[in-house]
Amino acid sequence: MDIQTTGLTRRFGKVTALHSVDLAIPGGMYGLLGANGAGKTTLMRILAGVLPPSGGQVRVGGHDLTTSAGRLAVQRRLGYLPQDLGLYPDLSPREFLDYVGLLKGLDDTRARHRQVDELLELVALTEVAGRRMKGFSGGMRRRVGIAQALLGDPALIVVDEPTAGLDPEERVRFRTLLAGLAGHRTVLLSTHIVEDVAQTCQHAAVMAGGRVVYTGMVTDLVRVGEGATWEVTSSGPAPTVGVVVSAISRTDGTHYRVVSSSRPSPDAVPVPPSLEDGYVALMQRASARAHTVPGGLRLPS
Amino acid sequence: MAQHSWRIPPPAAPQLWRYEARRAGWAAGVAAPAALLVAAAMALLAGNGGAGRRQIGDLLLTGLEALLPLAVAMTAVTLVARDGCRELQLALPTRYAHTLGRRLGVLALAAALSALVYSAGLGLTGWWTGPDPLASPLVWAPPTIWLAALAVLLAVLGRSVVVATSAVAGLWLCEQIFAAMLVGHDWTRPFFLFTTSRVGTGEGWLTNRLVLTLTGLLLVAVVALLLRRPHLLLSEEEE
Repeated sequence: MDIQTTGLTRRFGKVTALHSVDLAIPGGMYGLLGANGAGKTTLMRILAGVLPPSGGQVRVGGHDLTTSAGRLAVQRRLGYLPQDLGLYPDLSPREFLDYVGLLKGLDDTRARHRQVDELLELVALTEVAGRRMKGFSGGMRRRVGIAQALLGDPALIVVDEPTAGLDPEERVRFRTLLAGLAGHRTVLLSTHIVEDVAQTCQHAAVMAGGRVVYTGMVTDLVRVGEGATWEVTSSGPAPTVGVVVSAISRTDGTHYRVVSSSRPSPDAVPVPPSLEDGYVALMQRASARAHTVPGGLRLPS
Repeated sequence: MAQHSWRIPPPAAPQLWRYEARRAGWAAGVAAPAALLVAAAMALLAGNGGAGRRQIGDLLLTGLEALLPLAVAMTAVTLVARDGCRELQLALPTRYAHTLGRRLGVLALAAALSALVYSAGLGLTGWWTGPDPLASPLVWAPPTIWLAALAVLLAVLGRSVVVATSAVAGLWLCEQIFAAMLVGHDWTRPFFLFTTSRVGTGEGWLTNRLVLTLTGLLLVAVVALLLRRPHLLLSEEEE
């Protein structure tokens, strides 16, 4: 299911959360990166039919999301995992999935129950399928969340910050699960965790201040950090120029990894960038350009 | 993609009603009978305190006409304004307005059954002081529809349980306190919620009931229209 937005705008009172977003998302796994408040969640909600746009065009699988008929058509083929999935603590995972299945229109009881059991197996919750969700950990709740998103074998899956708050092991497991779903679907992964996109997506967009500042291959995003990634070894204070991405203390001093458009100190050594360096460099450029050029920076793929 | 039946379940799908009854929670089933029990307890206390038969009868009728609508309205607000999975619900193909309608339907059913049993109980024991028993639903149904619809409307517009419940409770209290003034004016009399228990079933009673029912249904229609834009229910934090 391909997604196309043109001049997509969303306002909340006087605040503009999305500024004329143009985006073309093909099938497969697609990452949407950005800091908190960048507009990712608003975009996800519009694509899930939760919020109507204030202006512009959105087409998902050929359906116009600005119309209620278009929203309904998309929602019939959508799996959505919102950032804050509250769940219903008095229900068990099996009951919750059964309920969501009914709301998704899966009205063949036997087929629905079979699918619920398969999904519980897929997310490794079979053993607790009958237990109330009240005491579930964040990871277990997310797994229930992804299971409900998969009900009805949707063609489009939208997941908003699915790994936030998970421990590293749960995060890797969740990422692997998501990546495995993308075969014949479009999976849109919104996150502020660069590593999640690096490990699962070929294509990504980056948002900042309600605008799309990058669309293209994830590998090309790394290149944005070329010539702007440095290592500085110092036993004194951290460099004040640029953004310190990491600091590792060793016997010869602290090794700072710095992203800066200019050499942060005379003894700084250029190093090959990672995706995170590329992302930070992009954010720096977007921030600098936003202060000088109306409309900000847009790097075409 | 595997083939699935994507038909939206009919409104009467019993499994869905069962789940929505659980979502409505125990409060939906308990609110109305609890309000009526409070009225019965107050009447009992008044009787022990030496109140006359007429006063006790009016107290019992007040439970039906005033306490029950207030309890139903407060519960309706929480049903509409509180849902841990609202964002997910808004992304599902079953319209959220229908889901809320089913939950409110559970509340309405519990309230109607409680009121009917209570009215029948009063009739059988000789404590009924209202209109003809066949017209007894006109004692509780118009103010209940009116107050509950207003409460839900305020919950949708204000996106706040506190705002909606405070406003409804405030209005209810004002109508109780300024009853004489409200009954005294031609243009406020038809909208007075507690005519049966405070004025009686004389001249103007039926008009009052009809006006309340019609304006209540109008409020219901406005709520239904607003819920066609269910994102209005998302709080500012959720947005």
